[in-house]
Amino acid sequence: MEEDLSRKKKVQRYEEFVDKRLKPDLVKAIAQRDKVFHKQKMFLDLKKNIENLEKNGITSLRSMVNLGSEVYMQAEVPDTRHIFVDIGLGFHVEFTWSEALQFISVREPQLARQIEEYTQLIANIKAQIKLVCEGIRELLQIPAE
Amino acid sequence: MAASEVKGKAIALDSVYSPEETAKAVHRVEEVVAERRRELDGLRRFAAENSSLSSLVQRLPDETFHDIMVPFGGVAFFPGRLIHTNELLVLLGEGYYAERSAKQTAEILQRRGKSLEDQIDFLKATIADLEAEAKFFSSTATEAAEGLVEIREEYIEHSQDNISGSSSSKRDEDIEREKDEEYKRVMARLNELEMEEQEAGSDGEEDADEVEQPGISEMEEESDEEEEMTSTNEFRTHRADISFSEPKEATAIGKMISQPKVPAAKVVTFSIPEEQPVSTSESIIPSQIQHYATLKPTDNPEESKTSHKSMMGSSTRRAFTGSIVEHDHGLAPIHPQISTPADQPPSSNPSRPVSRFKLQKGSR
Repeated sequence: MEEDLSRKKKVQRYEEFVDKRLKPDLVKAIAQRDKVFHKQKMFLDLKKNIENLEKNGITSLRSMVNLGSEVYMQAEVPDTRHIFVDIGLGFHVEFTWSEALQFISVREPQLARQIEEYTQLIANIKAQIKLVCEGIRELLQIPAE
Repeated sequence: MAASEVKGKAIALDSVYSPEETAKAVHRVEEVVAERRRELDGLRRFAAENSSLSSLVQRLPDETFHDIMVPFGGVAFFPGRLIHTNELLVLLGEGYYAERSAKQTAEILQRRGKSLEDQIDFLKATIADLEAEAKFFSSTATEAAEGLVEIREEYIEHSQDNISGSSSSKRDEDIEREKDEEYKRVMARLNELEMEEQEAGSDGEEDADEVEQPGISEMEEESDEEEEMTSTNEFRTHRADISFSEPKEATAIGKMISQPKVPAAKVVTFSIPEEQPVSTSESIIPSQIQHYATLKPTDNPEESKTSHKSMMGSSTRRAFTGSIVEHDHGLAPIHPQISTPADQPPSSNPSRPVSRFKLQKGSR
């Protein structure tokens, strides 16, 4: 009887650990990885766009600027040869096209590495969850499937 | 009140509402409140954005262009400028955009702001409700924890003093009587309606009988040897057809009559000037039915003649100023023999159909 009670308490503690610690961690890690994915996609787009500009020799362009709440206004760029690229931490650097491409080629592997790290982390958390669940199963003496 | 009389019973509050359960309920309600608050924050942010955008849109057309950094993808931008500062594309929803001027855009944004305000007000009311609920739960929980006791006592009317008792009973009686009267009224009305319905039902049946009976009986009298028994409905439609095409037909018939011989179609006209026009009054139906019963399926001209007579007779009483064009299929002898071959011997009687055998013989 005493043993039963202590085992119940143990199971409860394990379950709480899974629900309140591991699962939120997992959600957070996945969200962060998605963010990096998004960034990687943006840099990829930028690379394609700059290559396009180079190929067609476009020096001036018009686009629509989102003023917020999906209200757009026309904008004109008189000179496209100089582009400001986000290099992180709120800094933007003025590049020429070739410099921008070079920067992107450095940035891309770094982002890929970050994604890899997050993937590892997510796998780790999942493994932990599995482990704790297995522990609970053993405590309750339910035969493994 | 005597101490020995126990009229009510005391219930410990925490036996009804266990403290854990109430705590849980409070917790749940608070969670919902937090969620609503987050929603409210989101809406407030939208409203603030909306108002700032509105002021921006109104300010932009003050100049023909503005120097800005034009975003180029998510992570880069070019130095550039806004042009056409009085032309805006506004998302209407579902991927549809409208080109509006700055003023019109400001109006749209104002309307959006109003709807946002409405939503915020609604959410605020909801949150207030939920908070009241949570407060009630928590107060109940604390009271239960303090060991509060609920006392319930049965309400007994007889213990009341005489005057108030009698008056109240009198009032009860009044109410009772009123109810009875109302019930009676309703029942009487229901009976009345039922009677009416019954009468109406029997009337309708009788009417139907009247419509059908004379037609059928006369049909039997006048044309016993008829094989085809067509339904009264058909006759009605025939009648309708004729009355509909009446005016045009009449002139045509006039012409036809002036011509000496119309072999294929037999034309019958009759008009009764002093009576009202045809087909509007219900009373003519039986006579019409009877005419068509005799008219349509006739096989020999003799019979059709008699039927015409009867028709004339009855139609003097009934309103029918129309005309009838009857295609009498039974009158084979009068039909012009268009189909007869040209090499047919002239001796053969055109009124009598020549058998194929004879024809072949004659041509040989």
